[in-house]
Amino acid sequence: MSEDFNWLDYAEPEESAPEPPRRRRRFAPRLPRLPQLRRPARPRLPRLPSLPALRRRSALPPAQRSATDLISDQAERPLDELDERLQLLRERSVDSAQGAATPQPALYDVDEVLATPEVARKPGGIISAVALSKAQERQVELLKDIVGGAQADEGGDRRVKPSRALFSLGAAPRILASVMLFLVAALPFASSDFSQGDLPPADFPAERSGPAAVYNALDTLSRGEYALVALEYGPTAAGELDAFAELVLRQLFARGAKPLIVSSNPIAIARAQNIIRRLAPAEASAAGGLRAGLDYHILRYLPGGSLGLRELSENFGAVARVSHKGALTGLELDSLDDLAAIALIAERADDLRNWAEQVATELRQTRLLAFTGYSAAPLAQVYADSADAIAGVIIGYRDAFTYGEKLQREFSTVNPAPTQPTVIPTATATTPVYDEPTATVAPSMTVPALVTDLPPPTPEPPLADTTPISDLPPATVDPGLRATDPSAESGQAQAERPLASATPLPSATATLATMRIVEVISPREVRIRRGPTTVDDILRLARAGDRFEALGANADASWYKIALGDGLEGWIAEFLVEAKTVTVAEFVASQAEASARLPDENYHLRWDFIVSLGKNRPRIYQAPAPPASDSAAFVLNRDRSAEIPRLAAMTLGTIAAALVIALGNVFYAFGALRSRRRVSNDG
Amino acid sequence: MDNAVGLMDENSIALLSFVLTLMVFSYALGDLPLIGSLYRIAVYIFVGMTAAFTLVVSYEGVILPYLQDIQNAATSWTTLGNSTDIGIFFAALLLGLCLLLKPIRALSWLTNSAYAVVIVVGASVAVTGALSGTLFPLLHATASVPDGIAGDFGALADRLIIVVGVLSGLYYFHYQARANSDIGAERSKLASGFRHIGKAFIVTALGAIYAAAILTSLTILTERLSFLFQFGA
Repeated sequence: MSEDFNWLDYAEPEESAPEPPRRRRRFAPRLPRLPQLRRPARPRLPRLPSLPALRRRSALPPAQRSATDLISDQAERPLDELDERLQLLRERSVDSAQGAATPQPALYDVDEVLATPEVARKPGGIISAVALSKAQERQVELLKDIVGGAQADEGGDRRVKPSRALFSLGAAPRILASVMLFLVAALPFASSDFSQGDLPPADFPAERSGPAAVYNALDTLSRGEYALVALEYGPTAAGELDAFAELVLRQLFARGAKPLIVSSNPIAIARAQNIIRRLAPAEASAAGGLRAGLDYHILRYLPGGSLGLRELSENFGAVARVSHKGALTGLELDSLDDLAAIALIAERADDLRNWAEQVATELRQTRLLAFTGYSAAPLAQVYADSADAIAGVIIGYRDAFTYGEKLQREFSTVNPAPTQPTVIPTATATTPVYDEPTATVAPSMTVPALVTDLPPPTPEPPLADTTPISDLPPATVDPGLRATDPSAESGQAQAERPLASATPLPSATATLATMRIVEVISPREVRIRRGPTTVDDILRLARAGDRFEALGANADASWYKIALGDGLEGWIAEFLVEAKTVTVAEFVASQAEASARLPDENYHLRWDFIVSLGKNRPRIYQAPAPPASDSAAFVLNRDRSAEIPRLAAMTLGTIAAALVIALGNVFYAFGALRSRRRVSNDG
Repeated sequence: MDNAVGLMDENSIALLSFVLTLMVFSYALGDLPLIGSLYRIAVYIFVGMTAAFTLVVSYEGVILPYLQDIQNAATSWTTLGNSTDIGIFFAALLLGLCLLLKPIRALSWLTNSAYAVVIVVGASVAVTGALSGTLFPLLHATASVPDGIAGDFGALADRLIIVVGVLSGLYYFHYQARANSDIGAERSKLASGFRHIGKAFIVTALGAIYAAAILTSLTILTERLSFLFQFGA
């Protein structure tokens, strides 16, 4: 409402006769007329005596009537003909309007949103009854201080305006706190002497199944498989979540999988382009660069929030058909279950909730792998713990560091491509040690190792966590094979390598060699784990009759270390298997038979367990052989120079923030005490 | 978009990022003349570019493919998409056109109809998703008792805390009480204590969320600091 408007001077414009309201023409379909129903008869009520006329005020003398009655009885008349009391009232209001300033919004910017009621501060106006008390005035002053400091100008305008000065003392504590936080957090970048705090662990703890499950699920991807990567964050969270996006994409590219990037946030699409552009130059020469449409796809933007996600889950084929630039992708995917993995990198808890509600509920085989920042962690952890469709969650920069460490470690120990062992004649070799593991003679079938010394081998020295299987009969050795580099291995290294590894030679003697194996005797499926404990990752499942080459045992011989092929080694509980000695020919034949009988059995087993079972059930970790090609460069060529300073800066920044919060509360408490004392003195 | 980025070399982009970062950081000094304007200018740039980028992405990735589908459908209904997709597109196009009729008062009810479709579909999707994706899984996870929990005191304590927290937290928002002219609302000591427990759970949860938000802020701050130092080096 205009500030100069005075309702007492307002007069309605003269109109000859009110026009009848124009009927608005609307386009509406004609509906058939319904038959008219008979109106029910009204009940007859007894006649009540007539009530006295309560509004007969005009009969009263003018002196006894209120001003409101007078106003309501006034027709449009000249000012002079108004009642004397109304004229007095008008004069007082005009004086008041001239004396007081324009409406007095108290808060700058805020009053533009919320209309501030007009309040006269001094008695004498029309609404003098609501003048502010001293306590109220102090509260207003306090509110102004909170908002930014009140600066009433000389004209009486109480609108709080920004200070004309470059710096104001009112903002000094805030500036001081900001500068302190800034400096403290910057110290680790200036000097490594300030790198305080422990680094995150190099591996995800065994009891925390969430992050480990996410990592393992992505690590099982093989070349050519599609993985959906949803980037649900904008520029404000890029500093935290870009690390996850980069690591996930690096892992997928290194595995040879093809990421399909999608988002309901258009800015995230720009982020994805930036990240891939950042990845490409370093590895362009090694891996041939990254080509959109071949190595990865950026799918079209999903508008509409939860509606867009619902479209993704129910009509994934249509979404995957078009890229973010409107081009056809050529992807022939029908549903999300055609994907090998779905990784969600979400900024807000609401994003995660939307995906859990609209997408995860539609998944039948694939599970959601969540990555999020600290701010969304409380809700994300709840979903990961309760929703079966969410495999786990990785949270914050510290987990990102662990993720990167694990990735780096795994790919830096990549085994070279399987080759036939080199035969080097040695004169002093008593304990056979072979170079690198096995060669394969058929897909998904590993040729067993051979024990190659004659006469029977000298028992291996006892190891810290692994001892050779001593109760097995001594093995015979193929004379065509000899040890290589016998003195290069330490005890621990031997524990982590096959005791023997070779390729059967096309000679009759090779097939007569014997080897130590374990055969599963449990009628139920058994788990092969990464380490000799029940909390280690499950690498694979095995059934009764499955045979594996025995590599050793732990200290109390309760677990056998076995070879799984593809360069993997695992551990199986002793009571589930029976140790045997068989010839190589028998072992190869049994493996070939198993391979022919159950093609890709492990693959299906993996999916059965990863996808179908609940969160508290085991998750199978079956990493295919890490590729020895140049694609490992995607993981190894990371620039990690800023990681440790950032972690140290977070530690120092957390301490500084806690100090600022504590000091702020102390000052606030002192201020409140002073204010209370002042109020009590005034009262 | 790629071409636009390609017009600038990496150093120019880094320099621009450096300047914009400093402009945003200037907000720490307060909403002061000159300094405050720097922050505002940076924010205006971000908001404007976001709006423009959203428009471009929506047009290129969403609207244009539909238009191409229609163009193809005019010659062959089987080339791209199927009749169902085309029908859905026409329905969406019709509703979109209805939104354009808002300025025409006589036809504004058509706009409301389009709004109604969007709101009803959105609400139904949200409600069904919330039930199947949030409420039921959380209820099931809270109420279910895993096998072998009997001897695990830690797991039992976890469950107990969850149950007590949920019940007391809900009870905290229960405002029914006996009216008392002296103290306002009169509750039994048991009910009052239970309310306080719920309040403690809520305050703890909010504190955890606040702490998590601070950690996120610090993470982002360190990333920007790292960028500034790397640029300076």
